[in-house]
Amino acid sequence: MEHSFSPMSETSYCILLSLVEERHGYGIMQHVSDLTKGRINLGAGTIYGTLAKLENAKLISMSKEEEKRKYYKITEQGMQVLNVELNRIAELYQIGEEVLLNERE
Amino acid sequence: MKENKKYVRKSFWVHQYEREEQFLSDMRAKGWEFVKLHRGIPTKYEFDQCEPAAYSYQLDYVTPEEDTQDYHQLFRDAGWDEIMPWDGINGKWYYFVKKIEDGMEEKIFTDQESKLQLVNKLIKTYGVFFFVFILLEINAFARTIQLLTESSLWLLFDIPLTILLGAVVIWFIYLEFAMFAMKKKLQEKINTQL
Repeated sequence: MEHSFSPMSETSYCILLSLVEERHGYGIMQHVSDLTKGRINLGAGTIYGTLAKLENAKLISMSKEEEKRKYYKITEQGMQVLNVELNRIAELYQIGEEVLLNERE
Repeated sequence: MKENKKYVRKSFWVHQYEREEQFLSDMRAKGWEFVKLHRGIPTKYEFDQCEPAAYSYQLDYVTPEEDTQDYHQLFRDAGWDEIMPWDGINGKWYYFVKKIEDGMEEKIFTDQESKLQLVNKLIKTYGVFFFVFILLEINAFARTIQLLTESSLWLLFDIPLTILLGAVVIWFIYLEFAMFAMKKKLQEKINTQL
């Protein structure tokens, strides 16, 4: 299946970011909610489906299974994709700030 | 003391899962807690009387490959109670419920992409079955034509079979169309995001 990684959906971006450290599904849910101060609350079905998609694309991999919970971690390829995405967002932020600051002066 | 029970008979088809969720949430809000489903035509829903309260009912369709321990653990961790599974075509519907605390929205799918993923899965699973029934119908139809030329007694069996299979095929066409309509609506939502 063809995947286009950029631009990435908010869900995939948050999950990928969260998996810089090893986490299980519910751990990701809580972490993303903490990071976004409760703005993004990922549903269980959405997490499960997106983890499968990211694993298929080899951006994350399962690291262990403990007490019926699968733990995942970002792969090297996932790290590259995340950096590309981060740079894209940074550029958008930067040009946005430039234009708006000029406007105000 | 005997608990108050209520039974509702209604059908539930694949493209109506959002309506099913709404139906169960509405019943709970009126003081009827969904307990289980009984087989039958149409299906029988069993409810227990309870205090009216806001609960979110959600349905997910899970294929055998996806039906792993960690799937169920994830939903438990996230606070969902599993009521019961219901067999579908090459997969199961799972009924989940969670109490709604201070007006928080409780959904198992929180973005358009994963809703689309579910609809695509349903279209595919039902599509395979649809295809098998089309082949069976073509076969039955061809046989009936053949038998007509021979005025065979087998026609008493083959004509009803052809009609029955034809009805199933038409019903599957309808279901697939209904799901494609859902898919289109979700895709439009994704495409029209500014």
